[in-house]
Amino acid sequence: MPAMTRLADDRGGSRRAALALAGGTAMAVALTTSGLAQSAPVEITMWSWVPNLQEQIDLFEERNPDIDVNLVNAGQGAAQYMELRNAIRAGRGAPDVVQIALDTQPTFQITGALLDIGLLGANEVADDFVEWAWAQVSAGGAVYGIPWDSGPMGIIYRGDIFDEVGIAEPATWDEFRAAAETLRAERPDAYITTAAFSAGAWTIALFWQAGARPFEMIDETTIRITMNSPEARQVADYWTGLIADDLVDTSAIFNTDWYSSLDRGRIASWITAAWGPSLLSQFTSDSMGSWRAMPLPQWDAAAPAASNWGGSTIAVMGSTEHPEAAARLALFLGADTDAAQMFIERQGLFPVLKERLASDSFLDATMEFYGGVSYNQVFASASELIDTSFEWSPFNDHVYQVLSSELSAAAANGGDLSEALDRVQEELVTYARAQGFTVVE
Amino acid sequence: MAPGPRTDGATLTASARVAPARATRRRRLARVPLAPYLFCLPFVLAFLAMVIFPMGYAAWLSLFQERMVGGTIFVGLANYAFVIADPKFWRGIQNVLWFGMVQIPVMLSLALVLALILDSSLVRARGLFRAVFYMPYAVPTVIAALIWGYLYGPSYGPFTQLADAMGWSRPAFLTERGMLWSIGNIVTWEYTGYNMIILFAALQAVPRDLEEAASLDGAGPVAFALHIKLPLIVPALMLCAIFSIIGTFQLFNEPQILQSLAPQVIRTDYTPNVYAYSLAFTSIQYNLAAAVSFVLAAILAVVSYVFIRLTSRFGASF
Repeated sequence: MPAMTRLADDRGGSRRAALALAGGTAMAVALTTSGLAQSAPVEITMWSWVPNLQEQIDLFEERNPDIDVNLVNAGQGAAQYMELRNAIRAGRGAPDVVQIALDTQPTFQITGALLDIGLLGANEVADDFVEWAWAQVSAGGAVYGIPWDSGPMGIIYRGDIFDEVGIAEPATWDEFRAAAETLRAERPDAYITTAAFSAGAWTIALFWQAGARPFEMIDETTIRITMNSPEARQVADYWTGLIADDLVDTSAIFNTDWYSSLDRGRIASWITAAWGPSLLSQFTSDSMGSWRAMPLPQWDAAAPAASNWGGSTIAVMGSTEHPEAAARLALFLGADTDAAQMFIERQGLFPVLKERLASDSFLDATMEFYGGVSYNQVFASASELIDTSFEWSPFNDHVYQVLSSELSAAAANGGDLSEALDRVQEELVTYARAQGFTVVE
Repeated sequence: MAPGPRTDGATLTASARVAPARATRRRRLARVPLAPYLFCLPFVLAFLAMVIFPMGYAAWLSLFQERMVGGTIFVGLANYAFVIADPKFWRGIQNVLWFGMVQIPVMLSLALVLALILDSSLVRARGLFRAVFYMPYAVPTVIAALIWGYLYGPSYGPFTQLADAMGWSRPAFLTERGMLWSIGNIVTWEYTGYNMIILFAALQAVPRDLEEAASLDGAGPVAFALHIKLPLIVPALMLCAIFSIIGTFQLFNEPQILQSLAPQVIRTDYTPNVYAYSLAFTSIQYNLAAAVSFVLAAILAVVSYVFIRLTSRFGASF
């Protein structure tokens, strides 16, 4: 699932969803009060933007007749977080179980909004998950969410264009630059890729691969912020060079014009996550079937590293009155093999359960987007190369916004991305201090 | 207005013998004027709940600082001091000022010309044209911004394709230089018809015998429009201008939608309202956002007041 905020027009939807929630709750209350003298099932509410989730919810209710789940789509990503924050502020209306993107979980965790479900069964399934994903949701024995899906990074590219101009899959970023030069020389109307600094999450994912660790919570009130570390600068300088030499495109991504650019070959590849192909395939027509996938190029071919962009967890809200029922639902959706298989097949979620990740049915699943070939192996291998130590800040929305604002402006105007990073650093330190944190630089 | 009820009362007393019960009730109401208040009540309640209470709440919020660590503290007017010293806030104000100085005159001139043409005796199918010009206003601004955002597409938007086909250089709608013009175009497209309707309504109120008198004095339709009609609808024009100024300072939907197409141009401080929104909902600084709103309202009040003072002098000299 693209766990990122993509479109601003989610907002109306979330308001509708909130109304639907109000209506749904009223109806449910009416139903429970109107009948059933025997022990009525516990009713819990879940917020999620995963499409067609009701199928898995039905399966859960079938297996757990004592629990009724009221499923609500309160918008995707930032739109939902806004609703969630408002509900937390208001002290009512929050769900019992909620989908939260991996990168935003600490933002809610630090305010004490999420329940530690470690002793409610979560610790027992710890070993079922890929390590880096479990590291993202847990701290010692405390578990604040069950990993649901992930977005190991790779590159999807137009096989037809790469073949036409004679580019092999670049194994290192240096080779990637050479490939960009070849493509510009052969096809002056095209670029090898988009430097997507308009998406803060994309930028962070590139830093993650290079070994940058911009945030570290030293204790609950102390945070280390090093946005402009040498590793991050390495990435920034590399792209500054590509942009300066007009080797990459700098458009904003996730809009019609950009999707067309990929479909019509103005842009020949997208550095993206495992969910990228299913998203992009909704917008491709001419290029359907011409796509392939490859791993991220490496900074050091001897020490390959991958990265992650997106992915979600299923968290239980601290305010729930039914912690056990809520935890049971989170565990079912995240850790049950049947549910996981359904998510792979029906919703195209990229699995975080080791067993599913290694299964043939997953690795061999084909896509029309790739011309009926399977490239899941590329992303599955990447999943094993993701460093477990990456940490997010507890104010992730703000971080993405500042990154997007500063870096996209520098990219579009041919500025120096490293200098932009210095400004990001300064802005984030100021912000963190205003939020009451002790900041270590 | 005053004589109305009185004559009405007289009729009522006269007819009191016919329907005594009703008349006495009405008379009692007339003595204790409760009815007007009752009629106002729904509005007053809604006004209190939807305007006064949220404003009070925002004013209250603006005096505090909520922090992730250490909780909420009272900071007095510190948020206001921050906003007034904040270059980002002033960048937004500067943008809307530039925007308004160009867009409002263009839009109102267009609206005025259209209204005058529609009002003249030259035009047939007046109702049809009125509806067509007004139609963009019926399109929700969010939808309009999305559609225009597509049309402005730098690589595959229709205008770009047209430019490519004709061998012209591509229009730079979504760039640093082009953006305010592009937004201005959307806003003009949306609101010209709306303003035209207000001006047209005012023109309809211009007595027709003036036209006769003017033509007897030898004035053609153009002279009549410029020297008779225009001065008579100056109050309506001023009303449109005030509405437009307020709308400009509150510019939000269009830049917010276009932001996803050009985040490098439309940054979080592009307009004051975009800034307030991003402070509140992305950066979770509700307190600062509330302060931004009040400072913006204060600036708007001053600008509107100055505008009215200046133009009332101008109107008198007309």
